[in-house]
Amino acid sequence: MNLLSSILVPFFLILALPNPLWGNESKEFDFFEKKIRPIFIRNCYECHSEESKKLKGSLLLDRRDGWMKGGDSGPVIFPGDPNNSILIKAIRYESSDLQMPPERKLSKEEIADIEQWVTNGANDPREEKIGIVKKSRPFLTKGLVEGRKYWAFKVLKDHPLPGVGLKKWPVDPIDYFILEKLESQKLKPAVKADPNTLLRRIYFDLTGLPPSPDQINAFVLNRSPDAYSKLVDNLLGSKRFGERWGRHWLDVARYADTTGGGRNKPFPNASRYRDYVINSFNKDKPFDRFIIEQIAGDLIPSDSDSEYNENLTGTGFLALGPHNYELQDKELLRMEVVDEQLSAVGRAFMGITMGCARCHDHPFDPIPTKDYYSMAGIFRSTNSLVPGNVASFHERELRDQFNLQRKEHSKIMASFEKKLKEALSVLKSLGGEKVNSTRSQRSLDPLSLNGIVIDDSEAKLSGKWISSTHINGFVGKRYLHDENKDKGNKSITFSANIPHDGEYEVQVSYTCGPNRSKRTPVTVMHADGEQKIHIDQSKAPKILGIFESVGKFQFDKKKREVVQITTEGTMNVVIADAIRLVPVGKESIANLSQSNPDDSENKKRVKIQIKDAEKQVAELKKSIEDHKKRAPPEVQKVMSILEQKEVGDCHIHLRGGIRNLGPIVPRGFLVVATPQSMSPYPQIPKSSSGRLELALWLSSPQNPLTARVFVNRVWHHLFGRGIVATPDNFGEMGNRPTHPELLDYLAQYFIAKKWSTKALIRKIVLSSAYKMSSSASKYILNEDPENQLFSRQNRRRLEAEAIRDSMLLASGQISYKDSKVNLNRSLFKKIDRNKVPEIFDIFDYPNPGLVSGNRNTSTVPTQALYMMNNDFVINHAELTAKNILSLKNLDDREKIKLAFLICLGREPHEGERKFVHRYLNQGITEKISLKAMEGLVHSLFACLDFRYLN
Amino acid sequence: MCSKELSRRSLLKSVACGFGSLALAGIESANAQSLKSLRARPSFFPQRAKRVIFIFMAGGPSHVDTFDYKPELFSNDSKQIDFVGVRTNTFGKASKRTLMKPLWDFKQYGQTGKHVSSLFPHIAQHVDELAFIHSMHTEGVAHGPSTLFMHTGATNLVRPSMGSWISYGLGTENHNLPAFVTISPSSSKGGPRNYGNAFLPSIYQGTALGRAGNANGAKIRNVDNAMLSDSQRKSRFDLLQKLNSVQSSDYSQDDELEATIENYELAWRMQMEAPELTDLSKETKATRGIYGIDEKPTEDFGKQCLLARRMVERGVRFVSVNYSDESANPRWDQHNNMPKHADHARATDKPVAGLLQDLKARGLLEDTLVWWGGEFGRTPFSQGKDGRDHNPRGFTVFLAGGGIKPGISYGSTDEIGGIAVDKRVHMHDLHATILYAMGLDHEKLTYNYAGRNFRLTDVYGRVVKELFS
Repeated sequence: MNLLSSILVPFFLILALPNPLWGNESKEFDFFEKKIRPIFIRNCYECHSEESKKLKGSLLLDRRDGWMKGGDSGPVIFPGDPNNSILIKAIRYESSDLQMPPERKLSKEEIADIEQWVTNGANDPREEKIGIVKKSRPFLTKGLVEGRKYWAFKVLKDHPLPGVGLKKWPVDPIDYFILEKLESQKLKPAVKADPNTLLRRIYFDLTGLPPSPDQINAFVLNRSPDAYSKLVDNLLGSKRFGERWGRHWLDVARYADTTGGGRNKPFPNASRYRDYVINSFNKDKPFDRFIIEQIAGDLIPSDSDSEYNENLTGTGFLALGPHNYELQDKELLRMEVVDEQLSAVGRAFMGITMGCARCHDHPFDPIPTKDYYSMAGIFRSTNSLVPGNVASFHERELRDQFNLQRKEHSKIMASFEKKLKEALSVLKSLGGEKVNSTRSQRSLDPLSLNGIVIDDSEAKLSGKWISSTHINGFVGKRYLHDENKDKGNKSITFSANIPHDGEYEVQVSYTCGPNRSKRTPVTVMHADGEQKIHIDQSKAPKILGIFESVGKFQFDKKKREVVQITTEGTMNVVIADAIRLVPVGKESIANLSQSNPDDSENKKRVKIQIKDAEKQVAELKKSIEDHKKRAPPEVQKVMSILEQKEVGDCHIHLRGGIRNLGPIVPRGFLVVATPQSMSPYPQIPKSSSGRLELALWLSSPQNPLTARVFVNRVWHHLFGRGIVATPDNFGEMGNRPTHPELLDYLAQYFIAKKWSTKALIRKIVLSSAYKMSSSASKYILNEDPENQLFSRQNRRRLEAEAIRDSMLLASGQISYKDSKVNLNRSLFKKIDRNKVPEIFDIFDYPNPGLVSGNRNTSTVPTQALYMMNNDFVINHAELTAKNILSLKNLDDREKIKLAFLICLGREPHEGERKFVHRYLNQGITEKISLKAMEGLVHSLFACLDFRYLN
Repeated sequence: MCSKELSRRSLLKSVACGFGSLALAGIESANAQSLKSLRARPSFFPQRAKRVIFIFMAGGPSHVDTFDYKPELFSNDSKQIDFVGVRTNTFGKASKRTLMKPLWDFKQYGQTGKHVSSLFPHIAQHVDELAFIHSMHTEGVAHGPSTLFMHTGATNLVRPSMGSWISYGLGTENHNLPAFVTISPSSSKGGPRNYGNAFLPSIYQGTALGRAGNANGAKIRNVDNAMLSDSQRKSRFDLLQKLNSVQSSDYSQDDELEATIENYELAWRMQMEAPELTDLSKETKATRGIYGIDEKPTEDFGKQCLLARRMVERGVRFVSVNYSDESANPRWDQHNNMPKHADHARATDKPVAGLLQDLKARGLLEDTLVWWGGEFGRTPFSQGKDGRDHNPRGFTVFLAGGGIKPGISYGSTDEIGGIAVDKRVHMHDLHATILYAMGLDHEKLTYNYAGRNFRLTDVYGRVVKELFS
């Protein structure tokens, strides 16, 4: 440093610091110059000085005012108090959130020097002012006024019906909007699709299935003018409608039956949400109501149990995200869940991506970080997590008529159990019921055992387990075995209510035998993590002949999963019976079996007492058994959420860091999507999470996004492209509507029809626009190559489910007639996020972890390989061929025709007929063999007209 | 740059104009994926490596017992240290833990005199070829989050896997095979998300061959069917393509239909090539020998490694080899019973060394980047009697080939191997570095999804240029 500054600096500091000690100070400055400044320059200036290319965390360390004012999280040094100074914590690498410098920990000496400097008051001679540095702001969010001018945030508007030239074409206002745009480009709409094509289209679009040969014949022959509209009404009324349109919504709801990811936890009750969605579409539930139920179904009043159940089931939407419940940083997990819920709600209902604003103001859309955290506060006030080492989701009970009975039943049960416990303790004190001889005893009552006993009947099972009582010496009424089948897909998980913190010995009971697994994996989930131990079930258990110890572990006081037994990697039969946790050092197990009255004189008297007690125990046990038989059905549960006990506003998390807290923002909604005129202007009461208010705000006819987004989704499914081509993104980075007036018209129609999805769909499919052919003249293809103007229908690849269901329908495995659901249909297949069924994977089933309103349609060779070689395709071709050949009164020509009708919904073209004949005549001349017909059907399953919807 | 979704047609036109512009434009619309999206593309800057083999050691091998030699850990055995917890129940709480010295002795190898423990005698022979990074640190504490982070750069949110990013960036050189293959992956601890495309077009998804722990089942699916004879398959294929030609003639100018027809031709050819790819019987005894395929302990992983070589030889862009299983405590996860590390070392040491040797002999190592490592390391202190807990704050990986400087050790942990302290390399940094080796700029390899440009390294990542020669 130069001489001048060494003289000047102390002088200025006299003014700057109160109570200066001249002599010490100069020593301190010396220390700073020798030790501290070089460390800062070498290690910090790259990111924290005026010279930094990118200033990190808004923190300057090249001047005193820099650390005094601090960065985004406030001052980083408190002179004299190193332990509370963020800078010291960071260089000590105290927490994993903030470790500085990031690439290299300072040496011990360097850290000690800085600590000393801070302890001594952090004297710093660098007095440049902060103002000099230009603030780097990477993004500048549009202001509210500017933001409201964006089309999607504008209030819905009436648009007059445009005038058109081709007066005969339009049959619905929709057609006027389409035609006007076409005519402005001097184009004409495509011709009407031929009846077979239109029929196949409307069947797939409304039910996800192709028409059967009978349905085709009936329609093609029907000359009445209302044949089509009658058919549409029929299909809208069919149960298959809800299955088709419910599945569309399940894509948006990122529906699945497991969490996926790290520890792939099953969602045993997710399917109730799936069925709820299907039913909602089948009964044409008003979409605004559908929104409210999914976001706040638990918070709205109901008139009946069934209504209550329906409302509650809807909230599954919020609960079934793809969370990694084993994430160890639970505050991070909590905010990850909040973020996922917020993002899902944003994309599903508003077509807006909120995620960006978690870390900084949205770079393109008018969504400031403040709005993100105002909405995050709503979900943070919502309880979505059951705590635990591996956390979990909430499951809430449905109501039924058995509630009272159940209460009564368990009350009686409790009194029996209490009496039994008393009787048993009497018995034990007398020395009766020696439990160590139980190998010969058939079974043991869990209540008679010390410690915390959890029987298999109280555990959570996954996969198929067979209940057995074949070998004596088990706990409770039965034990379970895995049939030695389906290894790795079965597990049993025991939860325990740990009464107090401490060490417990964990024991597992099983019935041994030579055919048992020698290495059964038992995973203990304890306070410090989890551990897998293998037990040999071919050998007799050592404790009481029933239990085998797997070790001593620390547990915290709470209810949690403690033990999981799986069949992974086992070679022989796996047994699951009960587990127990015995507190270490307190009651020893010996107490159970050892006490023995020694007074021989009393023996006789005691014997009688024992006999009485035994009789009482036996009677009580019988009463309990009888009472169990009278149990009302088990209560059903759904995935859901709760209100947080303490609701409240949320801090802004600076740059998304969960411990990097900024100011608190009041809970609220996306301001730019809340019209100033909205009345009443939405507000969140202090005592509520705000979820209900959010649901009402979303489903309001005044919300500019919700109706637009949904009608666009419907249009997308009926035309293969939305009026906005990015159905989940109406923001700046999404596409603009090609027909904004039409979009507004449909949104208003939808609201006016009380948010009826069926009315909306009916309107669209009856329009001339929908009925157009997907083929077009060369001229049109040149003028409107992307079909931006909807000059024709779009040719669409069938979805994975439609491809699979078509084969099932062809082979007779499913039919239209099922008045209830047919679980063979693809949408009822279990969706394991970590193992999506092969055909789904190949044909672009959407990632079940992400909201997805627009499925990919890839064209890749794995699809060709699947259609050519997969067993499923070949087997269903064979079944279909068998059915065709079994029809006695058809000649070969008619059989070929029938194969085409079944697979492609039309008769063969002349050109196709030629090749089919050539194929069938290869080798065989007389009758069509099964193999040959199978080959024909197989080729039809694989061909273009099967895979595409024209 | 225009980031709106490009229409299919304008995309196909623009495929010809090079990668740079494409990447920024999102390469293609969601509705326009065909083989053309996999066409090999030039990189941002010169490629040091053309292919990657990632050898995943699931469960977290202990660095202090293998490659990160810490004399002070030997001398401080059984001493107590202060430790601040990272798990849920101990989060932020300080406690005393007992140091445990490495269970295996170290020896120096090669001209570089690198210390390697007796666990890896075969890999030790190659130390002069390897670049060790001793200062790794990562996110997550449990296997799931950390394994996902290693593959996708995110512990919880659904994000594309590194192999998907690389196929997206570079396409493939062999259209008869997938661009991104993972051999014998586990279905747990991230499962398919570890090789998933997430929001990238599905054409960039990794193709999984077989299941964890069974290299014999590692085959490409649907390339054959036992129910049909060769002549039946041929006549059906001929009929199918005839039907397709009649049907497509009705619909003029539809690229997607054309692509579907092309795909049947290609699939027909793949049926020939794919079975050959996974058929190890044609390999010489000598080759099988160096991978240890004919010895029981190394048979399975040896086959996986040999498959990996066959794939990169044929132009597969990214191959993952997985030493993993389906259990809650994956392979190297010795919370108790550290001696069990010896079994895992026995199973993998020779195959990995064999792969390095074989790649080198065939001239493939020059432009194939090999990455060996787990999702995290293990603690220098003991857990239970003789186990070690997870350690995401300091661990070791090694790289080889693909322009990597051979025979170096980069960065370090503290004296006992507890946390990375010098030249720290975060998992994001490693990702950035591997992309760099492939000629890709991790800040520019972006994909626009949900209105935002995403990248593998989120907003982080530093290319460790010192690792390259």
